[in-house]
Amino acid sequence: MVSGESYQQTRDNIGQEDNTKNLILLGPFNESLIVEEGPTLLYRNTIGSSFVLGKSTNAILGTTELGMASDYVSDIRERVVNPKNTFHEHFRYTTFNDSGVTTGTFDTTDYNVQLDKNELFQTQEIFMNEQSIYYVTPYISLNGGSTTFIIDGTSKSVNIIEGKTQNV
Amino acid sequence: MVTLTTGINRIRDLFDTDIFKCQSGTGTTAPLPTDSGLETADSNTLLTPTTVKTDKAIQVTHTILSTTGEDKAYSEQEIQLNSGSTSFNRIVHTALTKGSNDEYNYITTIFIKSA
Repeated sequence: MVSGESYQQTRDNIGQEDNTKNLILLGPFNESLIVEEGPTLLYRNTIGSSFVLGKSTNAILGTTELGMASDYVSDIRERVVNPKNTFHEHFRYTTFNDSGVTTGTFDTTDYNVQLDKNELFQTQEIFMNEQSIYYVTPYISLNGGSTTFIIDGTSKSVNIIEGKTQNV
Repeated sequence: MVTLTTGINRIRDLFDTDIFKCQSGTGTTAPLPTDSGLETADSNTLLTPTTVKTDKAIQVTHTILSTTGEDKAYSEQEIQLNSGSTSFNRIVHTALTKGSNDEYNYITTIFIKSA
């Protein structure tokens, strides 16, 4: 018998050699630091007739409204680009939370969204480019009850029940 | 051994300090890790971004005002580090032509974590 650090071999004249591997996982066990590039959102504001110094069509005193005009429109979302086409919500920023729909608590202190009965969480658009969405993988910590996910733009939904796996 | 949150946030702070400027361009080739910067940069958009830090994360906002880049079809953007000698990333998106009344804002979020 030849024993090594990561394998053992037994040789004899009967049959083939024993290639049984150790079941013990050997080190080194590295801890990795990962820099994860998150999504990039490109949004557009239109200044309308707002006064902008140095801009020929908007910097004429007396003919345009000084400062931000009433026709100023902000946060027109145009593109969202995700590295490796993967969107990962870390709950650090509310950039992609649709606060007009979400009734749960988007918590940037504990980095989660807390949903009580009948409360909603909806994101803003998380893909706005030329890619297609193939699947969505939500990771959920349930504290009783169930949660239904509705995939916008499709007729698909999935009901998440604690302790059960549900497929769309 | 475990990497502490304070240590990770120190790396985030060093990254934040090293951010120089952001820039947009009109190149359309798909980004590759071997790229050294933008394909077709528009130097008018080379601007100092604002950053917002939170736990193990940083958000970089690059604003191109309405007075810059009129009628340009922007399709790529980068974050520059180290006084502009190093491009951190290159983002390519479907081209978007900047109208005379448009102000563009790129928001990129970067996370640092241990695993």
